[in-house]
Amino acid sequence: MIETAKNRMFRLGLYLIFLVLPTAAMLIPALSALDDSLMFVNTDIKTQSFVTLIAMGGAYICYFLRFRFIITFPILLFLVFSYNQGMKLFSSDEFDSYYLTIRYLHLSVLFIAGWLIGYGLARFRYFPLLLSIVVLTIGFIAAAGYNKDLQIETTVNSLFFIVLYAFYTHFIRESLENIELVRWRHLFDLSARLGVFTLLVVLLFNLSMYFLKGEFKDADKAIGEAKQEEQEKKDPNEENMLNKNSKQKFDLNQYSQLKSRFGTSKELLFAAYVDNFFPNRPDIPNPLYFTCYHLTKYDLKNERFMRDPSMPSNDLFMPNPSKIPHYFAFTDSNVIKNSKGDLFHKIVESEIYLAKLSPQTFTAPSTAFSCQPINVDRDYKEQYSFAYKTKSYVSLLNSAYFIYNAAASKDKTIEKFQEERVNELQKVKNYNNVDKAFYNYYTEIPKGAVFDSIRSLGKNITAGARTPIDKILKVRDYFTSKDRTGKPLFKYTLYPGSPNDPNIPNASMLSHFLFKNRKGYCTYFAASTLFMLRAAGIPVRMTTGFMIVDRSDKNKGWYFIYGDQAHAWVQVYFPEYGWLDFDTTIGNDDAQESPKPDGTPPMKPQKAWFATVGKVIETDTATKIATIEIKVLQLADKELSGKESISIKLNMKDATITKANFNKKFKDIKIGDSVTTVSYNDELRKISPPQKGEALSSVVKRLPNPTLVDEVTIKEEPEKIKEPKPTTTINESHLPWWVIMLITGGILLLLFLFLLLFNARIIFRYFYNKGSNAKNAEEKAYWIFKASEFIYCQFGFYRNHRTPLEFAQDVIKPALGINYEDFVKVHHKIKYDKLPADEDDLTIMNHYHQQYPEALFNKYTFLQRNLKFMNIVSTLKFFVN
Amino acid sequence: MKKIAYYFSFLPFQLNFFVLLFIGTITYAIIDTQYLQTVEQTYFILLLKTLALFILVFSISITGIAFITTLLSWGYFWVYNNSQKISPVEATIGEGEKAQAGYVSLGLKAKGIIKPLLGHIKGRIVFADSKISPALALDQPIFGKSNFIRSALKASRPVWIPDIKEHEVEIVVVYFEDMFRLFSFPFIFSNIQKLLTLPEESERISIDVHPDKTIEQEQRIQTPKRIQGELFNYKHFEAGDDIRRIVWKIYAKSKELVVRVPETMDPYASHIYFHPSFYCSNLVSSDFKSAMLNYYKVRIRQVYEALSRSEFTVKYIPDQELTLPDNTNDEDPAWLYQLSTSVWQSDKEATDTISAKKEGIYCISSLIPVEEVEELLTNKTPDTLVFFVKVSSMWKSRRVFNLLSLIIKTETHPLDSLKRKWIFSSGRKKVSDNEKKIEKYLEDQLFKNIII
Repeated sequence: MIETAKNRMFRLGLYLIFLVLPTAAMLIPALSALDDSLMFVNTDIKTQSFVTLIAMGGAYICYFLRFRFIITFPILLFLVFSYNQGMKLFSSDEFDSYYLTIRYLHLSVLFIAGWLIGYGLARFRYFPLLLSIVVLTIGFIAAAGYNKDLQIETTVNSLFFIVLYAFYTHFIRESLENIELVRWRHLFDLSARLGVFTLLVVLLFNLSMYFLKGEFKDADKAIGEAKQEEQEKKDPNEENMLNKNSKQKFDLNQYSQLKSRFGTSKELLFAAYVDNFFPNRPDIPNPLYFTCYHLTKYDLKNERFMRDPSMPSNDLFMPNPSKIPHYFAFTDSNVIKNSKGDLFHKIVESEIYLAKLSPQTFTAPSTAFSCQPINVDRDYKEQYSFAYKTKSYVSLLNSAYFIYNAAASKDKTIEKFQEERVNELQKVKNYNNVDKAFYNYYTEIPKGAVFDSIRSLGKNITAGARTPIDKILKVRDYFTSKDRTGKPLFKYTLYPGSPNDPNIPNASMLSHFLFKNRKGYCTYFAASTLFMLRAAGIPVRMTTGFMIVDRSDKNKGWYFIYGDQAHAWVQVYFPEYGWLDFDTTIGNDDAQESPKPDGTPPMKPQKAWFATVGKVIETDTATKIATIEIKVLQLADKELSGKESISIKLNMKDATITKANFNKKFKDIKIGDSVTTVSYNDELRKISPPQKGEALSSVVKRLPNPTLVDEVTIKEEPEKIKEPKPTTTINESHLPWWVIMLITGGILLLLFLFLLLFNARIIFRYFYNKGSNAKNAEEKAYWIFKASEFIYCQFGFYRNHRTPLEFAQDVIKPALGINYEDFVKVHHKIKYDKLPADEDDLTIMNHYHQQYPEALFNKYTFLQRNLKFMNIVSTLKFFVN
Repeated sequence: MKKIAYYFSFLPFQLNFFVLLFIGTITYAIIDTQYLQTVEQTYFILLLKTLALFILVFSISITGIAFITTLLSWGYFWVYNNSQKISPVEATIGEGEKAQAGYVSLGLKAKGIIKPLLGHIKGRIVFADSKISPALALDQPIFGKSNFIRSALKASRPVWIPDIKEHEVEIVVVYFEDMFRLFSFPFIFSNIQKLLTLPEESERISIDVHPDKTIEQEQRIQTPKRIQGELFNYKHFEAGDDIRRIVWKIYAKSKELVVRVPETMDPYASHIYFHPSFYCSNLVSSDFKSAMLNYYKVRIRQVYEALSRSEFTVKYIPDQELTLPDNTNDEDPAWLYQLSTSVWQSDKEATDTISAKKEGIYCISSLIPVEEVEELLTNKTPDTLVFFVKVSSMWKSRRVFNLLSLIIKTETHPLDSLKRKWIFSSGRKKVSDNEKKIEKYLEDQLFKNIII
């Protein structure tokens, strides 16, 4: 039958509400997850959702109304394409055009995807299933890849909604397809069905969650173990915030300048406080660049710069802060020796609060030699996941205010500092007294035509300059020089020309940069400077890390480092002065500007008076006192370690207990766990700090017993990971899922049997008691009648179409000998004639009420009786009739 | 394919179940071979395992509930059915057991059903000619007299049944389906029920008929003895009156010459004998034949009804042997039943029987060969009225091509596609030639003819 337009519209409405909207609800969270990676187009999630939803709805309406896909879709594609072309033609500004095109492209991809989804929903029955499989797969891979710190339960919960969607669409489609002529009742019907379905799903979801709790816990535990193993397996030199897969290869993958043009890295990586101010001017902070790695060698074979762990006098301090126990400092004094410079040096302390930067990454002003993880104040824990203190052996001549960027000078002090610095460095005339191997390594240039041309350029530029610092200034001047027309020779750009631009240029790209287009970003400038200075016989290395900009007005010494401050520059070696930072990148003003106002710096945590690391040997959940075995402790900043371990009681009543950044409870501390404890208790201040050579036991004796601690961090014993799981843990943890299923099945079966056995008895008891407890005769008659009807039916005496009186006379009396007739008469009198019951009636009623169950039950043996009660068919028959 | 679909519909597992099973198996196979074999415990694998386990547990429990509730509901119906003497299921067409052919509201009524949890009850009717109705969702409750508990479930759905005839219901199947339609438990009733489809009522036409002595009314005036009669039955004798009509008894009493007034009904007032001919030669293939038969029946009904609106009693004379149902009444006249159940015939004797009748109005179709028409109308006066139904005009209102269908998938009438076939069929020319011949014959023989 040709459907009426009205009915079709109603049906369309139903499908839009019950099918398309839930699809959108499923897709939009997935989209917002993807959105993080699409942020560069600056379209917020609302716009994206809106566009997708409109496309989906539009397509659904279009194809529900039977438009042909083969005609409509090419038209749509054509429109989208021609609009894109038109936009390119009419926009004047190159950048605007690019930006708009990208933005439009992104939105149009979303629109087309939404359109295709709408089409699929309208035309293909199993499309929602396919869609949910695709989304689940993507979601799963994303979740497995990026949210490793999330608890498994949370991840499963969020992914489960996609599975639920598949079930839901199946359910609702079956309901919707039955509706041909839409009536109002269908809307109520559907809503009611949906309500019941939701209830059922919620129930089953919670049940499944409950039964699989053990599995989740086990998985979380195993993940913790796996993470540790993974880290242990890794080469210590590989701890790289930027790219974990590469070997010795530098690849600024996440926070490179290249990507900063898209704004991916406009997020706060970390905040740092550097205790470095100009001498005699404590109000002017002297910022220092933060170093991550040094690139010292050019690998000719693979055409790239590389880190070389075997570089002479390796002064790179690379601990993994996340593995150092809280408040215990990890120090490597070798790096101070290897930094090969003692003149004008001092120790600078910094505090680094990590936001988006991984806690495994260590960054500090060069040359760092100590790292001590500290706690983040509770109020700032959301923003900063980790913090550590560092100590660096810093040259007084080193500064983020490099000699060449005079524009950055805000104050005469800085100008003066720059002048003094140049004057001081003029003292270095040559590298005659430097170790030959060291000198040759850091002045090496690979052979080849390209390098020869760079070498000759370098020599040309530095010709006439006598001292190394003069040569550096010449190179700086070359980059800032102007051509014949008066325009700057070099330009800072994020589009150096090559489409497949790696983050660090190779030789041919450098040659292109230096001799042809003269456009590039930090790594181009740094790499060129490196080769030109090496050509001039100056030891130099490329350094990557973070450019520090002093934007602090209120909080002197505090710096906020955003993604686009990832940077590369060179370090030049001056004999006795050590390695000094020089940045030759020009006009990178973007990074000087803060993408957003700097936040308030985190509160410094309380002074920790006491810290210790040890293995838990006993716990008391009632008093929350744990006994741990320690070999090392720290009291009032003094560290003490003993050869033999000693046990100490710690009161963890008020302590914050964490494990892998998750809050835990005291009961989560298991015997054998390794814990780090910290106490801020002022009482401990009074205890005299340990003396050098003092035995551990004597210090412990001085401490209160038990000692109150404020922070507990659980870390599992590494040995335990490798051991096979002891059988007891299996018993402790939840049973395998199939046992649980079996038990659930058993319980359900029992429930069913219970219903089968006692259902009828309960119903009869209910009716009977109602009859006994009825307040007036009318009610009493009603309930007694109902109870009798029920019990007769249950025992196989079906009334069918007989009147109650006939039934009483023809069936009950001959079969059971019960005088049901009299009661029925009384019941009829009360019910139909509306006459009040007199004394006789009441007597008859009561007599019958007491008599009939007995008379009936006595007729049958125990077994027969119970079999009759179990007959569920009779029970149902009563209610059906 | 239809047969496979038919047998498939009796399977307790539906396509959805197989799809779910297929996806589950494939997923398991992939996960098992790719990931579960490894002893490595990475976050990826652990998350995969946990998620897979969770989905498995949830899926099994929800489908388990769906399965159990459906089975219980089926079981209850089984018990209920066994306790009943009469079949709790009844097929309906239109409002009852007959309706006009075309898009007919085909329905089912079933008692004693408890729906599965969130599930559906569906039904199908299988006819004796092994045609199967589409699934009918039993989702409309019928409530008992004074309570809110539903006494039965009803389904109705417009279904294209073009054939005008008596449809014998062979089987009625009731399916119990779960909420996801993974399972569908069928319940089969062999139901001997007859559903009648009637020719569609079409617009009224008016036909001016002057039957020529179909039956001469020879009503003699027989004066009953001893019955005086009412006064208005008599009049005074006038010159020219038949003296044989003088009532002498009255003259004896009153000396007045009166004559009995004759009943003045038209001496030629008569019945109309309506002879539709279902004679058919093999001009066209069977699918066209059945479509044309339906059209022809509709036209006959139109003519018959137009005739019966005249002052004459129309008598329908079938050209084939048909057994009438036991109970025919005014609402359900015998002629309509006879018309509905008529089929094409090629029995010459039947034609002879019609032609033997001397008087009457004839109705012929384009499928009757011109020789048969000649035979039929031999010895008939030129006044004889012949209705000639040109069956080829049944396609007039049908569209072969719709420009809009390039952009929109338009809903097509089932007859549209048949028309496309008709255009390229060899029968088209034959029928048109035959029509021309018949027309010419009727013109030549000066028969009064009406072409419809």
